Amino acid sequence: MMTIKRILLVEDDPKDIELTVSALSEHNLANGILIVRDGVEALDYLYRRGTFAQRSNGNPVVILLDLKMPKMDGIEVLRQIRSDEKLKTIPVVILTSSRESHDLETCYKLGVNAYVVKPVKFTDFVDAVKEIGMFWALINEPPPNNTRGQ
Amino acid sequence: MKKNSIENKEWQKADARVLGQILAAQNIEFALPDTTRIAEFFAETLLAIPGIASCRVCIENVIFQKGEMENELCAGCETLQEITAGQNEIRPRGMGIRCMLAGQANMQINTIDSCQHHFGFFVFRIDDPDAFNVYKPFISNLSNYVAISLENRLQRDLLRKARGELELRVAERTEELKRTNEDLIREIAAHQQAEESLRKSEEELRAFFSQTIDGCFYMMLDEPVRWDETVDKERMLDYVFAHQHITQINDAMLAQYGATRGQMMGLTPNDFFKHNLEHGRDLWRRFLDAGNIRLESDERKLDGTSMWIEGEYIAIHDRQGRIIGHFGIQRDITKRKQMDETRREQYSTLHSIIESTDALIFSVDREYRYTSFNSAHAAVMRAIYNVEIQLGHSLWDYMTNAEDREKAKRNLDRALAGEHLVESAYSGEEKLSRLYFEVSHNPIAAGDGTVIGVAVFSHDITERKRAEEEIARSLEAEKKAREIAEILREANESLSRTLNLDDVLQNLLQYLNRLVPYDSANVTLLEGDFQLRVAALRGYERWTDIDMTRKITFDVRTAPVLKEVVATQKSLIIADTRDHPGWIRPAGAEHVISWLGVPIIAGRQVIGLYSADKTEPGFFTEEHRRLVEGLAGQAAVAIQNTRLHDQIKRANVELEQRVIDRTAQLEAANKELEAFAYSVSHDLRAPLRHIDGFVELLQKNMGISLDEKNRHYLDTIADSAKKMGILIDDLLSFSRMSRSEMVNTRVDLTELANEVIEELKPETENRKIQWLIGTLPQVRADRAMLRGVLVNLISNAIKFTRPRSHARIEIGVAQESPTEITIFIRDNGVGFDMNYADKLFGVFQRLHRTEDFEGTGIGLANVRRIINRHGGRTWAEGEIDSGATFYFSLPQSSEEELP
Repeated sequence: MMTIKRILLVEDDPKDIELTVSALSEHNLANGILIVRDGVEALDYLYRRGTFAQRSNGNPVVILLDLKMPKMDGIEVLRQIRSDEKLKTIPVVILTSSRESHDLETCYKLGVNAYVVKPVKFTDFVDAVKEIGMFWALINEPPPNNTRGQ
Repeated sequence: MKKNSIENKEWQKADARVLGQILAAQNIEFALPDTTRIAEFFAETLLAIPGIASCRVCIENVIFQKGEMENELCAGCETLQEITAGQNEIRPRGMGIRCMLAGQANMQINTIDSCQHHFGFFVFRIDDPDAFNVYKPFISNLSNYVAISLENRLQRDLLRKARGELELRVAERTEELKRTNEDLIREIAAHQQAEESLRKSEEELRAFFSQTIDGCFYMMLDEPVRWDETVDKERMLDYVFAHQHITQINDAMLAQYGATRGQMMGLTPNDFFKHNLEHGRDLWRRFLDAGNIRLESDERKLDGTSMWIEGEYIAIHDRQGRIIGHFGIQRDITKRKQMDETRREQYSTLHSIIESTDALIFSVDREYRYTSFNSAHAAVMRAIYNVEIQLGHSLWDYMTNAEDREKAKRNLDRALAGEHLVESAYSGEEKLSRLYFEVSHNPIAAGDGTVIGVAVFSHDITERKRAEEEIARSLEAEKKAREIAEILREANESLSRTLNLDDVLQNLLQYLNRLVPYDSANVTLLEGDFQLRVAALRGYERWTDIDMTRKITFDVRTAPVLKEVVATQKSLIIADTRDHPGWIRPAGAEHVISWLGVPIIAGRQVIGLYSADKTEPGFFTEEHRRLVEGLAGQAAVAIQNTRLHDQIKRANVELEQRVIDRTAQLEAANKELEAFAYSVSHDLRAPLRHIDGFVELLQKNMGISLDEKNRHYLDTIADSAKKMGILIDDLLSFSRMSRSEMVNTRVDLTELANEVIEELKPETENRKIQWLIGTLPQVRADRAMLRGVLVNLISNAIKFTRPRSHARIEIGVAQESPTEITIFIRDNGVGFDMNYADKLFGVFQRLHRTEDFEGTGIGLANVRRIINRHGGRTWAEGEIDSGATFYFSLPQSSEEELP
């Protein structure tokens, strides 16, 4: 039996969360989703701070990161992750509406693993999310020290 | 007469005279009325004989002396005369007389005796025995002639007396008559003897006649004529001219006239002067008046040729003093005359040359007296000294200018010492009558080489000199002008080299000092309307504390002189400030006596004042004023430049700040715009995505329970959302196009076009499209952007030819100029209405319905935006259903610009 690996979705828009979750659930990937609503929450989760202080050990298998968010945007989150020895090996996929080359460039410079522009057409979006989920959560082997949390 | 004595030319004239006298002596009984005249004649004749220095003639009771004679001798003569007086009998010659001369050297004494009577004696002194010896024979002749004449006269007197007595006593004294007859006969015999003696003399004379080289002749009248105030001389001349004939003539004279004796004998004055009778009569008149004449005359030979005669003519009188003829001796001097004539012509030529030259010519002797001069010289002397010069007068009589005289004397003395010298000289007052000469002094040497005078040739070179001076003056002026121009140029260069006001003013004062040697100078600049502030100083250190002076400010309103300069904008020269009304003397300017104030004018406004000072009065000239004005003009420009420069500097600082501010503003605006674009791309699309997403979910959940109508509604919603998504994407790309930076590289348009066509292949599937791609140039452009242009235009062409079964798309170069290249993309598609051509390139402008041809209306706007950013143009031509051609131009890039 394939172990379900945890996916961290950082997204402020509830509609996008619903659609994303809907897309992932079509492929039975929804159970492993953990959703945070902004950058601060994302880092709290990763550093097990605040509301996530009590969470179990282990890093998500992949982080789906929106860019435009309240409090702290996705690029800042990405920068923090990539500058932290414990976090920097976590695969990060940017899932955003922005096609700005500036954003693209910055993200790749910071070491993002993939950059996906959310298609307007839902079916395309579903396909994209499914592929991301399938790849990172099921196919990709995480780094050895990446202990899985509960 | 000895032949050799005749050869002596010196004596020839004496011969003539002596012979003339001697010959004349034959007839003195007629010519001379009394014994005194005879004695006088005798003495003159004796003295005419060469070698005789003095004589004393004692005849009867008359003594006539010529020349010096010792008193003792004279006394002796008187004694002797007393002894012999009245003794008419013949005595042995020299009896009792010679003893008187004992001890007297060179003295001779002869008696005057006829065969019957002793008339007297004569004593004479010989100073030249050689000369005298030649004439010695004549002495006895002379004494004989005189004796015979005296005897004849005596006889005639006796005869007359006898005849008178005879007539008285004819009747009663027959006896006596007989005796008297006997006496008469005796007398006649004596007379005959005398005539014999005379004939002998004539023979001697004839010998002389034939031997002398001078022409000698007698010309005797038919009848004696009286020539005195009692006669009508003209009538008498008529007679003389017709009735005086050549009676005797020698060979020499015949030779002169080229005639034979036969031709000449008997000729009258009328014959001789037929070529010019009046001349002849004139000569005769003078001759007869004087009794003798010596002359040169133009006569004619017998053949008519002209000859010049030099002759002496002596009238011969009878006892009553009537003229009976004359003796002449004459010589042909034609040759000499011709030589004289030639010489005169030469002289005349020389004279006219000397007179016609402009050169001044004169000569002086060793005493500086004029020996010659030409009229040019005379004219110059007249012009300079106002004198009329004359030969023989000393140069110093005329040359009144001491300096001229000294100089002239120096030169003349050098020439008199034998030196040839040429030098320049001048005369007269400078600027008034001064004339300049080039003078050459030439010594005049006599035959033996001694310098007897100086010939001076002067050329008046005043004109040349003046011209030279004029040239020199103009050269000098030109040189000065060049120097000034050079200073002005240097000043200009120096003034324009700096934009610092202090430097400009200091330079200005420095250059002004080179033009105008002031003692001190300053520049004041006008601040506000009235305050003249000292801005620069020079030369005041000597007089005052310059730090104090530097702070001086003049109020124009209270300084009349400054006020005048500022108000009139004209320079002012004050010759002496001490007596100039309104001159205000500030502390530190006590030394200022001469003052020159020049306004510095910029743009018709006085901006300052240049003041130059001098400690002496009347120093500044109009030229100084002009020079300073010239420099003040440059100074004004330089001062204005520094001011402008300061203004520009200030303006630059301001501008820079404004640019910084503006840039910050723009950057802020740009950021905002970026933020806006970001939100648009991020936030605007999110709702669309949601619409689409939830419509999809709804469809999935409703499944087959959804009827056709509701399905259509949902599809429409999803489609609209999708379209809006595309629209937003296009808008974003358009916005990005404007903001993104251009990266220009070399772009091969042919290559790029093929690449784009390749990329658009999916859209051309199942289409028949004929591509006509010409050779396109390489251009310098942003490759990505230019690609966008081609994508837009080519995809449009593909799109709008969709209705055509055979589409044709052509890409090529429409026009190429050195500055611009134009590319076209032509299709045979649906075309467009040219009325809307302008709208084609506007944002969201569409000419076709979306159902027919999809599109957002952004594409061509993007094309235009890109081409504009490259500096090119875009336009289109088309016709409905006849295709369209889109053009874009790009500026030509030079070869170097192509990387």
